[in-house]
Amino acid sequence: MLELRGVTKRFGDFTALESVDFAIGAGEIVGLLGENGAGKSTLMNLVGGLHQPNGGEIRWDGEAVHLTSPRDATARRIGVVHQHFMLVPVFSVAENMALHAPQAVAVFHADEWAARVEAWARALGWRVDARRRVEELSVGERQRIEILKALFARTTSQKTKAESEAESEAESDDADETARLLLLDEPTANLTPGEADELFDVLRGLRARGCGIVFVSHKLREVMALCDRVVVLRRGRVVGEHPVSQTDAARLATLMVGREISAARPLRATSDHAAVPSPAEAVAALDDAHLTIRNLRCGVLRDFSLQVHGAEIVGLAGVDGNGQQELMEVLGGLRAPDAGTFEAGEAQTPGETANATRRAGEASGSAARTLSIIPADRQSVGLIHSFDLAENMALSRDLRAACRGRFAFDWTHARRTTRDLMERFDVRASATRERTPAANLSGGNAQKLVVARALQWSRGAVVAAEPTRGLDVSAARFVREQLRRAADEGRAVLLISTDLDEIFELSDRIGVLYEGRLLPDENLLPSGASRETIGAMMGGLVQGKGQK
Amino acid sequence: MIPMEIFSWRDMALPMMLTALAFAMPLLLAALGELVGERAGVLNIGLEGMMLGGAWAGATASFAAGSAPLGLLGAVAAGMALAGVFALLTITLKADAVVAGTGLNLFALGLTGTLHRALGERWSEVRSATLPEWVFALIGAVLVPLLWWGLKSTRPGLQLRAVGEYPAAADTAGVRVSRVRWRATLFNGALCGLAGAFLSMSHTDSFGENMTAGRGFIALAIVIFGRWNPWGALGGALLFGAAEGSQFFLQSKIGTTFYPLLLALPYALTLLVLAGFAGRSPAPAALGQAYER
Repeated sequence: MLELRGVTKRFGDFTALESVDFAIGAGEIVGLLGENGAGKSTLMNLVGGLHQPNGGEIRWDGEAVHLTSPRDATARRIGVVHQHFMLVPVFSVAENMALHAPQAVAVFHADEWAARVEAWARALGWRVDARRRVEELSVGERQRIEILKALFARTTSQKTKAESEAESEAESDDADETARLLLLDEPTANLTPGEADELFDVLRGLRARGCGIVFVSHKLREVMALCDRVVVLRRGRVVGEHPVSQTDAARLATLMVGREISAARPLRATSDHAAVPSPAEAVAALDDAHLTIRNLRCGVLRDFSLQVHGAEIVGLAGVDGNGQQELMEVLGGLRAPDAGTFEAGEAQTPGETANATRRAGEASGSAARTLSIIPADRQSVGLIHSFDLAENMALSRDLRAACRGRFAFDWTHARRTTRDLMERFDVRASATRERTPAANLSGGNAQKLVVARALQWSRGAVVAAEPTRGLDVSAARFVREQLRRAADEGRAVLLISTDLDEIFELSDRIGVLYEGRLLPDENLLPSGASRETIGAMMGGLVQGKGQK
Repeated sequence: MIPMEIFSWRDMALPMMLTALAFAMPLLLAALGELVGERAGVLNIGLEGMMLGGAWAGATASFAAGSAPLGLLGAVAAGMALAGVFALLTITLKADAVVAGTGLNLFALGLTGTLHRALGERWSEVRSATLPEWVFALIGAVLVPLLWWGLKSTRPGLQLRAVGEYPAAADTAGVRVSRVRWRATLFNGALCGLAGAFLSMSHTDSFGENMTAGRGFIALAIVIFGRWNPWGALGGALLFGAAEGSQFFLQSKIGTTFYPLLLALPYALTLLVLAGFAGRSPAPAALGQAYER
């Protein structure tokens, strides 16, 4: 059905895809696997008509085609679900769908469209209220709308002769209007495991109806569970292509990264200190480094209490929008809670106890000062894009304090420190090193810098939200190791993540944030809890013990 | 000065309303144009310039051709030409919208002033062929409900709003983002040209240098005040028109000492509106942002 032959795509000097061959037939689900920057999204954009290749050809039903705009793709019944939602938030679901209507339709009848969209949804076994505004929908619901849109979106182009003939044939039967090829770019990024399974069922149903599906992901487990065939991309080249039945996750991971990675080694603490009774002094020392949140109420958060001890990582799982943002904003001091308090202590080096305890005591008034925050959105909150790296590092209170010169800010010291840190944390920038603007860093390097800044100077509790979102496997690995090291130093680490694999890999204890409450209760779950238990809590299927 | 005894509110009510309406007309037309542009994500602060262009071209063309409709056509063409320059700079070449809009205002001010003086030397006196004010009022009266319905319930309206809110989503839906923005900008230019023509071909019968006197900026404020809704723009235009028109009547009541303060009334109102409404307004999300794939 679709075939790419020797396709090359360059952006300036950067080669995103180099003579890539790729093919997919009807009734087939092909996984497209690769790290960030491997070229997955670029390939999607070429087929979706957003970008045009510099070399090679794209063939559709055996004919070479030039897809110069998304219109050309939809005209050939290629549906795309982009990584970022392509829905207008202030539009209703029906309005978003009508945006794709053929040119001939001049007037938008809200009721008619709502009925139409709801009928489409029913065909997939979903219930959708098409009159609601997209911004009122949950992330999972939006994902469904995206899929409906990709499946049913119709051409809006002024058709060429050949196209309009094909079109009029299609119009005779309503079912034939649906997409023949569906491209899904990381569609499960925002879904709970339960929602993802549901999506997989829908995709399998579409496959049975003869729809070809390209499933882009870097989650090996999902690709193994869903796809018939896997194509692995690395640095713009196809490095492997296997039927799923003839390969395994470990081999694919190696292909993806280009070398062996010990993906299986858990980064959990070797002994579970929370359960093992410790000598009294040790407990006291650990508790100095705690992070305690009491009865926090703010936005979605309802009487949220949580204690993280020193030297442990508590993982807080949950789907986005259940209070993660409020929690981060309160802990980061960006927002005053309606009720509740929190305090944080610092880990101490032996012999410094008295002094440090006092500091922890002072800190309880403004605990944010002893907290190290790794924000979820490094793009907008973590770094200032137009600042260079040293300037970004100097945003840290601790580095600023160290650089306080007699008259002016000691930039020499700040730059030297930044250079050292970049070396230690393996932040790779261009030849301008610490003078590189933050905007020029890749996602992985930017996040390493944010982590370095958060962990380097303070000894206080650490709060990390989505610390590895969008990072490739090796950068993610590095960031996780740094978090584990922070815990090993005796610091309390709170990990807020929607990535269950990450939660399981790092956490000593696990909780679930659901509708602003902590599940199952303040004792949390042990690190060995089952994926199903946690998935059920994330989806709200299981209420915690002792909920009011 | 009119003696106090013969000034009565009852007798003045109708003339005051008509004056308010007359002052509201150019504001309404320009605000409706800008509203359409902004709903498509185009922030064009060059209304003043486009109005001036329209005012000059309307006066000159109607005088030269001896025909008011041809003058109107000239005014619309001039507004669209200036809008085209703006669209080329900001949509196609992706220049900063505020800089381009400011440039447009200064350019049009200088250009119309120079041309006016040059022609004045040759023709001694340029008198416009005039149109009655109700012609413009009719255009406004038709446009308000039409635009309201069109934006809400037609496919082009849907596409236009999508382009202003989330151009990437519109693009993937097959909407040509740049084309929609170009058209919205040209429409804005046409309406600003009309607004200018009202000033030089209906309200008065000749062009005067900088005769718009900040009305383009007031129209800009009206778009915000009206919350990007045509009916809101109508309300805003009437309010500002009343503020501007009332000075002639109040002047007779309070005397000439405070006259300059009265002149400042519409502008003070503009500041108030911008300070009070700008912060929490439902502006299109992609307003003033260039779009690149």
